[in-house]
Amino acid sequence: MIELKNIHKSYGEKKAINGINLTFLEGEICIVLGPSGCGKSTMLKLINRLLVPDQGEISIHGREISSFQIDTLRRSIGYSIQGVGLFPHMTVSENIGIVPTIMKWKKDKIEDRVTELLELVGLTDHYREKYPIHLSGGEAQRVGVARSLAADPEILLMDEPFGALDPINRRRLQQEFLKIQSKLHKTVIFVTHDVGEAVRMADKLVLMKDGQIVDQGSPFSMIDKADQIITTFTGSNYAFELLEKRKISDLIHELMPLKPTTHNIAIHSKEEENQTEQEFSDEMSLKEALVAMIIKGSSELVVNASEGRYLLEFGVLAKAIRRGEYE
Amino acid sequence: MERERKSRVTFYFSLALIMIGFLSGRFMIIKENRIVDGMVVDTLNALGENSFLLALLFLILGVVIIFYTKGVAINPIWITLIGVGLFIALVVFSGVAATYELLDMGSTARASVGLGFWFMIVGVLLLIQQSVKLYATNQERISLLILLSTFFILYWIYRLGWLSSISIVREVSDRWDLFSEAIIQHLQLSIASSLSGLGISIILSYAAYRKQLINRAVSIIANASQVIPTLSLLGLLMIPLGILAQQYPGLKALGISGIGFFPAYLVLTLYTLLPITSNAIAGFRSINQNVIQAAEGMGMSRRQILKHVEGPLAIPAIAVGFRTALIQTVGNGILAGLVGGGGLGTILFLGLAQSAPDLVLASALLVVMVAVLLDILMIGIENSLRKKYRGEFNRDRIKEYS
Repeated sequence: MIELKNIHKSYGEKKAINGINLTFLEGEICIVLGPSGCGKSTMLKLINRLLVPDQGEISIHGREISSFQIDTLRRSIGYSIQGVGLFPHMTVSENIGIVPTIMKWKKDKIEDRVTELLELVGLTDHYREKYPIHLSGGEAQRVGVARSLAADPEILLMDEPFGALDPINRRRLQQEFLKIQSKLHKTVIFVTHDVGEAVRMADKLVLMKDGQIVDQGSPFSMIDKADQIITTFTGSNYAFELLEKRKISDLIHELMPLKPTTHNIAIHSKEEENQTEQEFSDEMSLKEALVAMIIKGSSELVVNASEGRYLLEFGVLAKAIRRGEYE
Repeated sequence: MERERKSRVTFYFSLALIMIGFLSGRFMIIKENRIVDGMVVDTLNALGENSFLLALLFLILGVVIIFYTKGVAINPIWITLIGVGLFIALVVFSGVAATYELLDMGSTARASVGLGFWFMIVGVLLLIQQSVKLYATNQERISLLILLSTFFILYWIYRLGWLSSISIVREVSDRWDLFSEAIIQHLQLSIASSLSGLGISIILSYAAYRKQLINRAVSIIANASQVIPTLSLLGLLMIPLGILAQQYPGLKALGISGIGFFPAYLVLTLYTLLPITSNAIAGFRSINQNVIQAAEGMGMSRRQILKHVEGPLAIPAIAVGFRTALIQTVGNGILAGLVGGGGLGTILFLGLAQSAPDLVLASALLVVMVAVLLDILMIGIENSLRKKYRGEFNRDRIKEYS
């Protein structure tokens, strides 16, 4: 558990952090969302003591961080930044193994750890001897994540780690990171200005603006306040992004069941019969379902789930987010 | 395209140089003795029948080059080989010619090669260098190979006695003990001062890279040391160093004195500071800040960052600076001769004082040879360092995402 109490930090005249109180729970991904310059990166750097607060207290498991030896503290916190910062003169395996190396682990133990981590981030063993310039952006980012996990830190600080990637790669890495997290249960503090990314990954969401916390809570609980605030300062539509956090299968008990045969004209109207060709998987997110409706120009979708075929109506979809609020 | 155009221009230029040299009529100068004016002999008269052989080689070379530049598929390695052949032929023929010219003259008579000869030699060297660029991926290794093999062929011819009538060769071989000692001294002086400069510069540049204030001081020191002319710095140091050595016999015992090895070493070391520090600082500065921040964030101490990250990343740039400094020091090292610091400069200034141009030329040529050999050697070392710390290759691509 990480606790920030009444933190203030200024750069000269400019107040970067202005009185923050925050608690990060163990095993949770906490996404800190805010526009550029809102102080979110500064907050991360305060936690691993790359910066020192002007005022206030930061503690990990109740112990004030200034009482730790600085290198010990940093080695117990994985730090992954935008643009990766891989060492260009080291191979992938040397990069991943650097913290264990300076912690004087045994050689074969380091090698084993590198193998394990490469597998974890989905890279094959032949990446070991490659140099960073031979990696694509996505591969470099994976290596960066692997490197921050090398000494098995309890806490991960991630400063827009996927910021430099194209949308497709970014999404893939987000999903893979969630998969990794479901195995490792690290305490993750993840900073981003991408609303979609924040909504997709967050267990808990913290909204920051001008060095202060505007709101915090589960992504669904924030829909009322968040929508105006986030839309005004990021230009992204929060509610729309939230749709992605739900799958059609989450709503399965509210959908209208259809008869299993596709050619039953007696039940369906003529129009529907023409569209029975196109069926959608219940693994689809609600965002994709909504987009599909718009493309089809229809307020209904035929869903093919394992339990049978269902009809998803727009009315059900529209209420889904509000319902999520109380979960 | 640009490179091809450039090499074509160079080829024609060197052909022109060779032609001018051949036709200039100043192939060789024969003197009764060291002091009287010489008699100029032109290429045809000096070489006799050999001049036709030389002209033939020259013609073949010209034809090959014209075909090559017109796009006929000729491996440019032939240009190199013909060039080397022409080089050796020139030297051998002039050696033979000198022997003939001196046949019925006294032992004080000497035959020295003239401007025409030098034109041809320069043309040929330029040609060889340019042709090597066209095919060699590892230019330094090929150049070194060509250089060494040419050197050994010439040495073998020299041992046969064919060159011994050329005055400059005679000058060097008569005083080989003197020359070899001078070369060794020259090397010692250059390498010692460059290495000291390297050590000081690395410390200075790291300090400058870390602290803005020191940066300003370092650039002042390094620039100032470069602004003062070498010669006057030697003169300026002579007096205080002499006084120091007189006042403190302990220092004198350490080798500190107003003249001799020490002032030369000191001045040359000072002159290496600018090239090495400026390169090293640039090397440190070019390290991506993301990389440093990542290193700090993962808990590396200042020393570990220097050892594992900053050091290795700056090494290739430092090596470039060191090479510049070393070559510059070999050249400047001539001035050591003025303060009794030894080296090839001693012979050069002796030659100037005795108005013996061959002595001057011989020592200058040897300085050039030493510099070229060291340069090639250093480029080789640089390349292997760069390969080891591969990050320096293609830095721009790294910047895109790290």
